[in-house]
Amino acid sequence: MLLTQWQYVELNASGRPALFPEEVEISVSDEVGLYQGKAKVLNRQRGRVYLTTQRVIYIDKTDPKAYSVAVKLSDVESLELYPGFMRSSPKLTVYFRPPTDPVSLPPPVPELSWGCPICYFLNKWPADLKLPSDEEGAILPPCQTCGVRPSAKHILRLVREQQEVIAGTSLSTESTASANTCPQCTFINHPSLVKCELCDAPMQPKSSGGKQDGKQRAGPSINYRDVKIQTETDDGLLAKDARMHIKISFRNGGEKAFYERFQSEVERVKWDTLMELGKVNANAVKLQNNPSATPPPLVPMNLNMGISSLEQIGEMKRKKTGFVLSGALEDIDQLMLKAKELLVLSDEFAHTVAKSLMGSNQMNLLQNSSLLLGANITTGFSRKDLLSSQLYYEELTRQISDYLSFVLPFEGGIMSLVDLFALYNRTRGINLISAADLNKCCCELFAELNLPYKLKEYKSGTKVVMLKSDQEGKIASRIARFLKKSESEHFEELKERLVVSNNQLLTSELNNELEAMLSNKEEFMFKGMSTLDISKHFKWSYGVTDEETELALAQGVIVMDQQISGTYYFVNKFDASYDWETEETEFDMATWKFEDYTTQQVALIPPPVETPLAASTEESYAATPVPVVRTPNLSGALLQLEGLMFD
Amino acid sequence: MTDADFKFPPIYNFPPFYTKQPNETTWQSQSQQWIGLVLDYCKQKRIWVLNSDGVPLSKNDSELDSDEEVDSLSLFANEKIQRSLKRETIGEIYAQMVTEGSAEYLSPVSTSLSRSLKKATPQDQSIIVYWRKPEDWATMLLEWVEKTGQLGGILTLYELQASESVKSQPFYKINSTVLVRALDVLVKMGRAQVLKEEGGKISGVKIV
Repeated sequence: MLLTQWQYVELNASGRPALFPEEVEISVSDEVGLYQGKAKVLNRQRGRVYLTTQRVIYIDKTDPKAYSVAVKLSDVESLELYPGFMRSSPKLTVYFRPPTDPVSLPPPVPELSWGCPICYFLNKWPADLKLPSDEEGAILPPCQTCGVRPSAKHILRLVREQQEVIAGTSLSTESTASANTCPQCTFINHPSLVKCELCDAPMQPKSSGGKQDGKQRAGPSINYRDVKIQTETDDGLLAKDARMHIKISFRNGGEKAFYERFQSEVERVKWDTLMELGKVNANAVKLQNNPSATPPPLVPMNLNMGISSLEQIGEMKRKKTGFVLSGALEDIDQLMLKAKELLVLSDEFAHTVAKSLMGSNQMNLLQNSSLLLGANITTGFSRKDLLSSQLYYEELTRQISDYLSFVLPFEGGIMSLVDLFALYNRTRGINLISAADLNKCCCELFAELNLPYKLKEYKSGTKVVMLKSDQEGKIASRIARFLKKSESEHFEELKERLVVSNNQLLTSELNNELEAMLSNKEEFMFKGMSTLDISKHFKWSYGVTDEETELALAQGVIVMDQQISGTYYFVNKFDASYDWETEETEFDMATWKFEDYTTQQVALIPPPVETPLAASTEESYAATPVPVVRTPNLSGALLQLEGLMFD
Repeated sequence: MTDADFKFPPIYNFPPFYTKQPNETTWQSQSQQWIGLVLDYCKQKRIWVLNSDGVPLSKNDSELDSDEEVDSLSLFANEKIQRSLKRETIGEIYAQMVTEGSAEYLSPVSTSLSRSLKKATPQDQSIIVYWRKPEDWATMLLEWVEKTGQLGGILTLYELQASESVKSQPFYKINSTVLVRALDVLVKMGRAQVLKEEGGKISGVKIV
């Protein structure tokens, strides 16, 4: 039996789930397996499980793309923790609410409306009023603006048309999903509009497009890709009175913390749903169920005599101590990196205070800061949150990878490790990571986790982070292409300036004359590009540019001109195959077909991989013709297009 | 014979041409381009000797060439773009030319005719540019001697270099060192006998 609660999960390039807007990660645990009912789910026995504010997401370790699934928190009714016994690992049972649960939103009832034949005002048909069954004798409401009653015939015709349209849209959601057809007037609106542009009628909520669903939790399902679930044995869910449930088995521990957070999230989601449905009184306040919010009274009010009372007092004292310690350590947590000793100390105390520390202010702060940045990628896990350090590093690496996909395009595709460290920690704000951690993440785990980034170390020892697809020659050829382009642009610009100043039309004769003049006069000569020019163009830092030009020099694609005023770089024209007439070499053809970094990045910026859209854009980039930069034989018309041609 | 307007290749105006490229492969092709340029330039201007700065030295080498106009400017400096090759780099290019056999260091051992010589490291040395190989010159001399029926006769070096009869020949006003090298080739082939003065100076040659 396939539970309908399983949902497909989109992953981004770093192997992390692509989160909905306003969805924030709360916790993660690894080495978990999934059960459906009583039976193990095949192929989902080793992975990580993420708890977010909207979903519980399972990411498979062996094949994340194929086997990852998620369950919405709004589908969850209750949780149960099984602590584990002997060889049976601890399990978290997740009970789903029955499909007919009254809490879930009723499907939106399409409203009928009619346009007044006199004044064209769009009247709403009162919901409690029955539709006239025949054309005679029905009492119809008058138009709200002009007060004229419509004829029953007119109303019936309109109503029938609308019903047909609504039936049509609900049946063929596929075809209308992209068009966003108005249910009232059939006008095809822009997909982002919520109301019809023409008749002002509310649009049908679309069934596809997971983004909108983040807000409408109980809205239509986003289950547009099949999730195939196979269980090892019979799951026993078909039996009578069986409650729909799945289990998450924690092979590596960590179930307790996960359970507590999961529980509080489920509570919150339930509460939010109630709020949304308007079932909460206006000024109702939720009872806080947080033990660490107020210190428990040291002495119980009614003291009994005997051993039980002594025990009670002991218990109270312990709780009080726990409260104080957890409160103190919350602050210390933020200074964790500055005060290493305190980290050690807190680690010693960790087993006593860890439970009360979890799920407190810290997470909220992080959520706020990440929301401020407009990106979900900065949710920081602190080292203590995650029990195994390996998991911590892996998760950190994935987060850094996410961060890079966001920040690397602004850095021209190459970023020194020091810059990354500074920027990343600034984005995190609090709960900073150490340089050693970053080094470990970037050095070892990028490759291990098969992430799209890699670390490159220059001869000088400078380490930089860049896209894995950026091979050695790719960057060098990018530099060479830039040099070539700027050289031709230099001449075009000069030519244009001369033509404009002489107020002449650019004929081919004049063009030749100009070219001869330009190539013979020292002041018009192309003087090459300095390191600074290159670093400006590629948005690289100066150090990175220096290293990259050196590499490009070593590869022989560019050459340099060293003089007192500085070093300038040129395209390599020493090659025997270089043709000074057309300014092209065989080498052009072979190496310069690498696409520009900017276009490459455009294809990369939407993080989800393997979506058909992303695939098609990448293909289209691959299909774009190789831009060959050469001096075009300019005519007057082309001259005006120059800016377009060379951008 | 001289053609004052030597047409420099476009690379002559390429600023990096005047910086030794750090990449070995690039430097190889760069130096090859330089060598080609030097040979072409010297051939057209009939320059026999270049000093360590690349300035033609034919003038003070022999009075034979005194009437010849020679640039006083270095070949390795481009006024127009204000770039010039460093002396070490010139030395490296010379060294490569010598290895390839397209040049020879001007040294006391190499010729008995050369006069003022500096004792210096190879870097500071002038070179004799063989824009034609001594073998080619030898063949030319032999052909001319055969054609003019002077086989077996004794000819002075001056006759071969500057007499009226050789005015139309390509080796007219040939540099003495180059001429000696060409005669050496002929001697090795067994087609010539060199007559020497007491001081070891070549006074005449008998081509057979």
